[in-house]
Amino acid sequence: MTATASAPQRVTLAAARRPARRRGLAWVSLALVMAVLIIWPLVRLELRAFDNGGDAFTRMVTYPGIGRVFLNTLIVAVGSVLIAVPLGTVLAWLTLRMPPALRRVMAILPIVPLMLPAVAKVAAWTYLLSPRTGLLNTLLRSWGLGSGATGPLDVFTMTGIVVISGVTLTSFVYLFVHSSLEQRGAELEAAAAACGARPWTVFTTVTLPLLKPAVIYSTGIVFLLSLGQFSAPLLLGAPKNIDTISTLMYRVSGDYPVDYALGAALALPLLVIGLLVVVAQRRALGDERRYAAVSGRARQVGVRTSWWAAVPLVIYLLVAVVLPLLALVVVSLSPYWSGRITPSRFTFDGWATAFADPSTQQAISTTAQAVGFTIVLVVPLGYLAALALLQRTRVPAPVRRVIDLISSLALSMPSVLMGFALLLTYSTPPFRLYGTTAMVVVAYVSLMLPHAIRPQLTSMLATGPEYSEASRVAGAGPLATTWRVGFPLIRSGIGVAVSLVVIMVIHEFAVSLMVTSPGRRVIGTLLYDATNFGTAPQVAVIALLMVAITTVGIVAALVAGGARALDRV
Amino acid sequence: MSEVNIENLTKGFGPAVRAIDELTLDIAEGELVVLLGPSGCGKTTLLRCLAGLERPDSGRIAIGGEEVFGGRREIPTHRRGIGLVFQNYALWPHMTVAQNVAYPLRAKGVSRRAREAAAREALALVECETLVDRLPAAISGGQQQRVALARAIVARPRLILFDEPLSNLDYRLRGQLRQEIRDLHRTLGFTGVYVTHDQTEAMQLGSRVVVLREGRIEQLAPPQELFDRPATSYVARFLGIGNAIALSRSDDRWVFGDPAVEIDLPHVPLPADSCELLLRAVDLTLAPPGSEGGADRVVVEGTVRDVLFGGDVSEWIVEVGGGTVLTATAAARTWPYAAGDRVAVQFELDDALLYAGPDGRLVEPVGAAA
Repeated sequence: MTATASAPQRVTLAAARRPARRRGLAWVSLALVMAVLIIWPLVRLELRAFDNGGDAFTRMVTYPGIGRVFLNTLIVAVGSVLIAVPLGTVLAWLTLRMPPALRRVMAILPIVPLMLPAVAKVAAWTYLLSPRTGLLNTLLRSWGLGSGATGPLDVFTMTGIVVISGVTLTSFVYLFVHSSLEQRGAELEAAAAACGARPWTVFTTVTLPLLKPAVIYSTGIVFLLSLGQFSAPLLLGAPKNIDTISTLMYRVSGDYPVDYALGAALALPLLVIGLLVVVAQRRALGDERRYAAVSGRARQVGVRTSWWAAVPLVIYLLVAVVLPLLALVVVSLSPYWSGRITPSRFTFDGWATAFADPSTQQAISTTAQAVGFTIVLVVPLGYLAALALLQRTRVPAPVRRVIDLISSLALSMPSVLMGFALLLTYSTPPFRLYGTTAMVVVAYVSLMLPHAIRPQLTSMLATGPEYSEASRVAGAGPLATTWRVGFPLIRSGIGVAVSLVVIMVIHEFAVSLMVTSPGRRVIGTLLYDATNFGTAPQVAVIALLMVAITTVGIVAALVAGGARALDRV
Repeated sequence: MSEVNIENLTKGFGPAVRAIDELTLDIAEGELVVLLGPSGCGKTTLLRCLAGLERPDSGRIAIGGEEVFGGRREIPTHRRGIGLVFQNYALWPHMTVAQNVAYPLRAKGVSRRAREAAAREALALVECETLVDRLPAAISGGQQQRVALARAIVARPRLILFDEPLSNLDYRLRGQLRQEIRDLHRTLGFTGVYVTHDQTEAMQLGSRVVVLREGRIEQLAPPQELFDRPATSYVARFLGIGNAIALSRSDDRWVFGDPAVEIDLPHVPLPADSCELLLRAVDLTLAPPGSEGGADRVVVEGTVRDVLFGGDVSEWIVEVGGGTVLTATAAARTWPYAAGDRVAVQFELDDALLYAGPDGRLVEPVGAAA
């Protein structure tokens, strides 16, 4: 009796000797890893700006045309917000005014533009709207609009940059506003109507205030993303020397030796604004859990619907997806690009040449490796971080706050700035990783961490802690609970995280351009090389390849994460 | 051996909130103790501390003589050998009913065949054996909670915790499941801790009932004693004893209301100048105005404000002493009075509960001294 009783006693004693302190240490080291990945490169970079008494700032303000550069950056940011926020909000609102059968298909479509890599899209628009050979321009001229051999539209202008940036970012606004509208359902509006409010009163007193968090959040995101907008100004601004802070930083990173101090000085305003926007969002929104934990079971009842609501959506899709894709296909099949579609001369030579080119093969393999390693590293990291953010009573509050801060900070930093900081950190001693796949992977992991946290966090919030608690009560340890209950329940969240990382990594352009060497390209940077030194069909083929790889990645993630994951991307 | 000992347990959330405050409680083996109180009284926190889902700040918890929390020791939840029934069931949506129920045995490493048999047996106990291959989303709320019960008992834990398990169910189902939990407790003889804010549930299920207030035990008693002699006016009100008359001393008489109505409380030595008289609705009777009381029978005249017909029983709402509202409950049509009628409200002094002092302690006995 005594012998049998003492054996389990010892086991539990050993388990009991693993008190809160050791658990706390594990979370602290997680926060440290995140800080090393994200904060440290930024700090190292910005310290450079203040070397030598800060003479980098003197160099910056005396840089020729610097005022114009800052102004351009601001115009792109404000212009994009003015286009994307109203357009995205209206599209989201219209989606809910479609007949249910139509809505099921259409609601997901405004997100499709996000799956088109930005540089591929910008390249496509040059084929549509370049003044001399743009498809749309030749079409307009044949209708008698405009005169001479050019115009009437020109994509290589400030307006072109702003419009393309704004249209691209509309999808983000749509994403946030739509999910907010859908979660709430129409019941709250119906309740207001039942209280005697007219439709307009309902809209201003219920719909808009409830949308406030989503609109504020997406305005902040769009502002930051367009502030760091890189591919549009780089590809479209070049002919007329339109520079923004991000393109100027890229130029600085291309000089040898790299003037890191000047780059750091240029980056400082972006960094400060990024911080300010994050703080302002926090202030305006308060505790984000208030908005995240709304149940998804709300119904759309009593809304008047109409097929006409689909028209603006179709137009948007035409402009943002169909036209660019068509242009890419046409150009990729043409032997050379003249601005005319001549199907009789279509050929697959462009495709054959691209695949035969060893640099294409090498870029595809590097991209695949980088994506694979990044996912393997960043998704578990994101899982742990999301767990830490949720375990209010188990994880020490300061650690939680640090993790929270780091993840939102990383979201607010323009990628060109992150790229510059990562270039400095990992190409100089003690790392000297420049030119290796490892450098690309480290950069991607740093960049993708927030995107890996968010979907998993949302999934965990939606399922609540009871399931895991029930498993622990049932006698399963932490590992068994994670494996049998935790993972299966947030499978769709993990699927979303994986597909987001795939999309973002393949789309990633600014960081890739900085951290890859000419000898080890990823597919996005290969496309940029082609725009500089290659032919138009070559560019189109690579752009379509990017689209294809993205699609494969998303489909794979969806198969793994269950089809419902698509709703959450 | 599965008694539970809680000693000086304290748990706060931040410096301002003390969810549990120096609480000591011993639960005997086989006892089903109900923790009763309004939301925010600390009952759920106490339950979660027992389960190891919440870490107390200080104190000691022992289950079956084994210390699970105390000093530097903390045994994690999954080694405490307990069962827990959640308010929202917490059935894992990706597992079938059988897999859900067998899970505690799977965690113990029981062979597949043995745990399937045990799961079937547990499901039979809650009359859900036909649901084995269904998914939780495909069964009703009442069935889900039955399955959750089966999951909690399948491994025969030494302690089963219930966290408001019936709150999400409708009235009739609640009654049925209450009965089933009672039967299970009687059949299996487990030690149980049951959290609820529903006094009927507490009365019907508890071997003893603990009424909690701001993290402390306000009263600990068997249900009958609790209802007969609520120790404080807080307990009495929480048990639904809502007829309150605020009395004050005027010369040597007890009066209330404006204009003052006198109540004859013979021979009651009172420590204070004011006190509160609480009366159960079933202890009030109505009579024609002008009726005489008796030696231990108090009469107050008033006006019927409303009569609420409730099927079996009706409630007469009577206003007395200009502003004090009393409710008398009896079988429907017991009294012929309607709204606007003058009546005499009568009650036995023996049935009245008198509370005085700053924390409203019970003054006893009221009528017996006569």
